[in-house]
Amino acid sequence: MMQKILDWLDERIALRQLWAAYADRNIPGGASWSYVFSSGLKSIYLTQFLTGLLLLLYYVPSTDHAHTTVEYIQKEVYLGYLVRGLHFYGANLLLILSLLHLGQTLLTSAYKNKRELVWISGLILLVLLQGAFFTGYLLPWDQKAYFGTQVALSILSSVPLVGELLETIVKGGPRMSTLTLSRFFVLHVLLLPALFITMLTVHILLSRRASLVADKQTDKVDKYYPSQFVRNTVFAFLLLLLLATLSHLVPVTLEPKADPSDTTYIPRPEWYFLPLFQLLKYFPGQLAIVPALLLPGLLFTVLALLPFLDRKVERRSRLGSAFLIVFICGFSMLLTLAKLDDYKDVATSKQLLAQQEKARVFLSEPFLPQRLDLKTQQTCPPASFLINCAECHGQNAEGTKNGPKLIGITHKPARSPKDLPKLLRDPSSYGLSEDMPDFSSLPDEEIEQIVDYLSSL
Amino acid sequence: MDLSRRRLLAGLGWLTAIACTAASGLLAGLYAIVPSLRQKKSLDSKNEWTQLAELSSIPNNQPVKFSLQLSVIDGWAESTTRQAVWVIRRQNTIDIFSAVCPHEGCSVDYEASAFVCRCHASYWKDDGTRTSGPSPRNLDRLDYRIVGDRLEVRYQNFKLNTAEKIPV
Repeated sequence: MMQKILDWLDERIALRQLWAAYADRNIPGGASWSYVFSSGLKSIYLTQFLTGLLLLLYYVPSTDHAHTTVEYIQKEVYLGYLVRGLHFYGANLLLILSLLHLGQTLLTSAYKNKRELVWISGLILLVLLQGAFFTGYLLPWDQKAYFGTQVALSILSSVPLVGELLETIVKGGPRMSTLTLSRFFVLHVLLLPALFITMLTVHILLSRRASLVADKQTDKVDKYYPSQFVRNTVFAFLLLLLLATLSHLVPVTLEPKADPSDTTYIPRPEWYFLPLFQLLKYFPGQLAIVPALLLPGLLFTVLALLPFLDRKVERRSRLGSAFLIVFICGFSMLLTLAKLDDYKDVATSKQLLAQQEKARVFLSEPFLPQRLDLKTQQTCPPASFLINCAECHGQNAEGTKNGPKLIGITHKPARSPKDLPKLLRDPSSYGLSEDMPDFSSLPDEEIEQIVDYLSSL
Repeated sequence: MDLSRRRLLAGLGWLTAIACTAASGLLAGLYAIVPSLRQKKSLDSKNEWTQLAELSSIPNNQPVKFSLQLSVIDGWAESTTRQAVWVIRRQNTIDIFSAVCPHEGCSVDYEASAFVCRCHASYWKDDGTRTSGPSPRNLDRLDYRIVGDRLEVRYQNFKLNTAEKIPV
């Protein structure tokens, strides 16, 4: 039976050929634990797509509701804290694995010898990842989301000539608002994922092609399946286990809702932006774009040009290793300095601790549904209104195609509660057309009920 | 590589791959499904009795439509929803009908001394008795009570498309 189904599929989609292309790939140098990073990255990208999709079931991108819905996911939705945790820690893990993957490529000089485009598409993925971090950071609309993004956008405005225009366009207006949130949301959940999928496909297809270039320096060759396959799946399993454990033991924080009037709040970026944040301190005013945009830009340009600068055929070149050492030293030095600065400044460290405490307290409070203050009708329309007026003016005086809405009518000139009884008895004297019937036959008390009701709207 | 070792590695690989997929699927399923099951229970709990109008203001023998404002727990929000009911005051009794058609849940309107659902052309007499169309039962009568001079209704939803009227 199974055999028949396989044959049926094989005739139509060349199943066995596809499997062979997947399973019988040559692994130069033999299967190894040092080859698991690219496959681990694929698993975590998949996790991000899945958990992102799940978060969308409950998230609402508006300044009125974003924070409440994230709080709802974190506190109320069954396993919501786990899904949010996987997405948050998964993002961090993506960055760490990407850097390890990049470092390994640098050390083994695997960026050259017809692998230039694989290398560059990988760098583009890293840039996209920064974009996803930046846009995703704002979405919970808590204190750090608001103030952190505010700082980043203000740095953007220090770009010469077009800076302020750029900032306004990204914000969707002069202030951080619901429009900012919508833009970031669309970038984060639609545009960036589409670019990720495209670039990941390019990266993977190109790397498959590149690996066909036989590496003659090694004699030992394994097939992918099963020896590399089992290493990759076990690694993916361990990564997911790590993410789930972390999400469970150290729930992702959520600070109180953004309060732009809070003058004490100190935003601090996540660890991966801390070195750039530290550099900002050495470049005052307009020079902020040097560490914020120019340095990272320069870094990426040098990396992108590396395969063209390093043209030696030999595998291990000093250039890649030198670059890696300088980067790691610089990154960790600036990170340490940033932490040290905050630690040494008593007032700052006290405030940062207080903010952590606030977030902890906020997370431990029970979730209360947000009251949507739709203008609730205090009074039901009286039957006299429903019988005489509702047909044209609507069940709740909201208006229909036959008659205008009457909500707020008593605030209009010549429609005061004193005018209305006279108007109802003699509409033509108020300049109304014949479409408005004459209600002079209605008893006084019903007229009074109708006017009272209209006055209450 | 000998065959048994090859089998062992492949088995372990598939086992972990399936474990990852199954765990993700389970997580996604529970996360998406459990809150929708819990949601049902919290609905309607806050609106036992809803005030309609003063009894004396309701005319005799003429169906009047009222929209009720009901507060509901709407996921992460405490919100309001509106539901329509038809009220007919007679000599000694009052009929209050839900304006939800018992067939597929469209709205029931009143035209030419009969209740009608235009979705699939079901008709009822003004006492709620079914006359024609695909509706499986009479209009759903709602409980009411009179407090002082005020008429109050207990709004309920009923299972659609069953011959019996079953509250949900």
